[in-house]
Amino acid sequence: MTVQLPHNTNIDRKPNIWAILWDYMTTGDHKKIGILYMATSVVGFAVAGILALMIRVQLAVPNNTFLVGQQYNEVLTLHAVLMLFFFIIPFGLVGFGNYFLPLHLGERDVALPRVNTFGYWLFLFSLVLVIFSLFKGGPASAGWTFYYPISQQGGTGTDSLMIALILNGIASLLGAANFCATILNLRAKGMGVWKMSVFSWSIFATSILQLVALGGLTSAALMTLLERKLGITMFNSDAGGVPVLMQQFFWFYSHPAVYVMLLPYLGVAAEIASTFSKKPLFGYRVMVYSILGITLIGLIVWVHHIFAVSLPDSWQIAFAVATMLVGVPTGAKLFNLIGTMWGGHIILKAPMYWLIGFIFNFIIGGITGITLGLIPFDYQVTQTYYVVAHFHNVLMFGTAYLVMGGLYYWWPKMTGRMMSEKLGLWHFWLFIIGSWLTFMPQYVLGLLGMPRRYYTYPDGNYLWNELNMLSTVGAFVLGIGGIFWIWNMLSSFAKPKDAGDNPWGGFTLEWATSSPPAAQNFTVKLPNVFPTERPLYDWNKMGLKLEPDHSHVHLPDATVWPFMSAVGLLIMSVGLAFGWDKINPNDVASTWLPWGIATAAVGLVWLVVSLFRWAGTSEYSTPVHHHVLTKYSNGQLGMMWFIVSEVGLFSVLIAGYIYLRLTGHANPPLERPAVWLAAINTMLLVSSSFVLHYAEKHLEQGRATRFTLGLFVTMAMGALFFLFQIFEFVLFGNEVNWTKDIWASCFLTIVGLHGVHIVIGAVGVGLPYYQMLTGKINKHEHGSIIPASLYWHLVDVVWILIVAIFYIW
Amino acid sequence: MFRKFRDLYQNLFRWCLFLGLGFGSSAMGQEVTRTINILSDTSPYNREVMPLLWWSIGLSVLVLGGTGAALIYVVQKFRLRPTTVGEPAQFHGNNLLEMVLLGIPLVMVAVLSILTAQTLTRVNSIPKTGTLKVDVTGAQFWWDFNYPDLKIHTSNELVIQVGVPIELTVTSADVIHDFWITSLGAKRDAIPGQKAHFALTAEKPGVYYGQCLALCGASHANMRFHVVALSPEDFSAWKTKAIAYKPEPVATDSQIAAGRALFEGKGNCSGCHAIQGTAARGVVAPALSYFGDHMYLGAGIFKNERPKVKEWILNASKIKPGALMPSYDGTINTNMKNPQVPSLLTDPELESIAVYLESNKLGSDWRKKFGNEEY
Repeated sequence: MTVQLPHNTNIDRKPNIWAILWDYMTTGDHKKIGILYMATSVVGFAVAGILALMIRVQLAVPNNTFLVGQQYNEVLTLHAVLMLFFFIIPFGLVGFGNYFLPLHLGERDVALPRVNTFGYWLFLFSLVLVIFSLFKGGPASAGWTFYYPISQQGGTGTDSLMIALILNGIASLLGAANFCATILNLRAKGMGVWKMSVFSWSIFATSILQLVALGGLTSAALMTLLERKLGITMFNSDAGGVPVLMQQFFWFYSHPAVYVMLLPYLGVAAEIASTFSKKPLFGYRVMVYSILGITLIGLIVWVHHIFAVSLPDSWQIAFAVATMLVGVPTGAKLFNLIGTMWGGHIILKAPMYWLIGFIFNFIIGGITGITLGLIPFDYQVTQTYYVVAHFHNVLMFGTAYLVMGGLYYWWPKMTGRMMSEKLGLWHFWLFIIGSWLTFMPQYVLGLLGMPRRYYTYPDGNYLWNELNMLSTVGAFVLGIGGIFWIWNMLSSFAKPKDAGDNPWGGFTLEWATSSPPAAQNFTVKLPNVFPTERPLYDWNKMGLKLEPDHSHVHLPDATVWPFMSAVGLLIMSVGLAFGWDKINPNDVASTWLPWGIATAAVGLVWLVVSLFRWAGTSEYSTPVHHHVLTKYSNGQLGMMWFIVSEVGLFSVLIAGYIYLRLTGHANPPLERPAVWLAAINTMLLVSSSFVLHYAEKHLEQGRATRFTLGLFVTMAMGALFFLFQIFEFVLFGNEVNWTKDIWASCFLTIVGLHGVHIVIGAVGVGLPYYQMLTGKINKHEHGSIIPASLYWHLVDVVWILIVAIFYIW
Repeated sequence: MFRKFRDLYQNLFRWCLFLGLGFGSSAMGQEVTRTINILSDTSPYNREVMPLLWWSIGLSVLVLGGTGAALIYVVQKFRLRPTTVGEPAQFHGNNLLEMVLLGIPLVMVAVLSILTAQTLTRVNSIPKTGTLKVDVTGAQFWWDFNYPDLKIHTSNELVIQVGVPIELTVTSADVIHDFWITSLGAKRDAIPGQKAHFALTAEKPGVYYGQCLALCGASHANMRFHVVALSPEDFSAWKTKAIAYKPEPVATDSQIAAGRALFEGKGNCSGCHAIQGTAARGVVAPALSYFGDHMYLGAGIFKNERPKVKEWILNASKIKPGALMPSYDGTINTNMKNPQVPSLLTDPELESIAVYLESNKLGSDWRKKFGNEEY
């Protein structure tokens, strides 16, 4: 068997810590990246858990002085940000997803391994940015929801949080696009989409949801940042803006985000239920349709977070109905889990305990969720501890139980070692008791009128003291449970590898690998028939044996440049976040602008250099062609899915602008930006798209010189466009005071964001140009030209829309 | 860490007592006792919501009972036992059962949707006539109340009449707040640049507890208020007195006169605060017109007692985080956008101002009238 492994995994001597670190910095291996995501999420969970304990200490007794005022708000904000963005979302989607999706599909890796590496490090650096803010300028204190205008108060911590959320979002989108491309392009031969595991489906649905909705959060964070730094605003009511618009942007993502947090784990639940009952899934198709149904309905329920802002009754009712409706497919999932267990031989081991605990708790959380859709009741309990109890019910002792379930289930596969069953049950029961004790009293507190996000409460309110004390005691029980968990994980490493390849008797493909899997995942040849979603079971029945695989295996080479690119973005972000406070157009001298600009510029150069080096390093040491299932290459398919998110982002911002325009909040000034300039720019951009298109055609026919020239002309036209736009911004910026003019702010934001996309697109076209010059592209090797040109065409189309809504309308 | 470590132990003790005695005396030794319960049927709003809640509780019991029982049954019946042999039946589902299990929740959702829509239109309707109009403005970290028809302006303690729908128009002067008279029903966000419009009715005279429900900064937890609901006779007496209120132009009591001079002069309190019938017309801070009647100080957080009032004036942000009032002890309140170098006030001067503030009253003693109970 010839396995062509990346050089650095060739371990002859005992590796030192630096070698391991270097390996993880440079690897494209989806398993290592999955482990990095999971490890980071464990740290995020631990830190956020400690913050939660601090919160409960403060609230243990009335009028306590442990965390007061702003300090409490900072702890509260950080607790939520870490729990959501650095634990519950990444653990399932990109943690379990990266590790197990390719295994479930019977593949060697994800579609775009290096993008994956870049995504992880960008994710980690967004965490670094959040932590950085603890040491400079005061951390964010406006809550993870950063509502406008409270988000405009406070120090640079909020700026860095906004940038961190945007970076985190980009990382997440790259991961999501990568998963979509992987699922569509890379499945074991013979595996149709309807034979994929439910876990794979859930990752697919979650990725799509992430791609469609994330633009909402990015828009909210971007607008908050722009107003904090430059005074550009869509929300400022003094200038005629609408503060609630920020909440619409925010919840347009942050409600679907709830399903981003849930769906991957519902996939995990299905796997555990099937394996531990020794049965196929009950209603596989219904489960898949439920996942897709949740994805769809989940997109149209966000207003239930903001019933109290006084929207028209009809709107509220529509969203309330959708809110209750989303319970139907979610309920179907739970019924089907029970149906899967029905009639099985249920092995009551730790993962199953977590699953059973999840089902029971989640029903309660689901029911209280439905009650929040009863608008008149919602008017009473919204923003009280009833809501706090509800979302901890579904997240902490719902979804997070499946984090644990999945971890106990797959731990032997990932490490080759079993976790202790005894410690696992201690962990489980402490978590059950702890979470009921912590959060059930909070439902009652909500009904007794206790508001959330209060750092203190007065003595003398009926039962408040007792229930709060109970809740604090429960939080400490949870903390002790957490110690058992960490201990269980660490102590398993003290044992020899005892798990075997398939300790639970699972029937999905990850159990056909060794524990932990080899670098190339599968060392056997998989048959080409997939009668159901449980191939190992079917093959066994059919008498098919898994023969050792003697074919050549090509794995991508390690490279440090994705990591370096992420470092560049981190440096740039530090400059942008901390470099200056608000720029007052009248008083530039009062800021430390030069420091910030210099740092950001260094970061930008670092990023661009790294990107070019990345593009210049071949993915494989020998040229190989991988079989893909669609007619599109992996890069092309990944870019197509990524473009979904770009469309989402521009749609949200443009919808905001159109809303402001139609409701009379954004009225165009008399002196509009010049149409003739826009006309020239449109000509430039449209013709550049044609040039690029013909350049591609020339490449296919092997005419290298024309191809190179075409790329050069495209970039030149892009640069010219950008120069014209700067000229226009300077002219227009001098005419209007954008801090007082919503139309001007919308214009600068959306057109400016498009300008940024022009720069990104031009760098994107620059990469294949560089590859061409260094001889990495030829008639057969297309490098990164196809994704780059797709992106360029997107930028072009967006521009035409912009011309319509800003210059003509 | 704990300044009040002792309180923790006391509370632990009280908590054990609570477990032992059941739902006994929860607020032992408290001067003020509040029984806040949004499910209590003492307000018309809560009564409107009740049927909706009973329906959802009934359906919840069905769902939780059904699925919970199924789950427990499955785990008990089908768990792997040492005696279990062979392979369980490998069935893949049952379409009819799936349809039924999708149909049942759909019916439930339909029922709840219809009830919600009906209840919503009822609770969101505002009577055309016969309401008492009140404009509410939230600000960091206090509440301002204007009666547009009566031309009464007060802050942090709102006086209303029982049985009359209170037509509230809620907005904000800075960040988003949320106005909630906890036991009376619905809440609304107070959003800058827009007005929320809704009506609530109190039926029982007494003192109601109100709070801010949207995270609004350091003292979000200290942005409370109180609503005093009066019988029609009491309200009309109060109204008449309030509209006519005017302090003596020149106070006979020399301390009051000194306090007023400081309030309008050296302290420059009148730059921000208003007192009816005087030169004090400030609007960026709570109106202090009937401050002598107020039960609380600092937006419902301290009892209105002279030593606390003095402590407050001396340095408000020290005892209420983020408070936007200049301090008079020589420090600069950095919470303020444009902190000014403050003037210093001596203890006798503070005393005079406190006495002057106390003297601004209509003579209504709510504690005497309603005792220490709040709802």
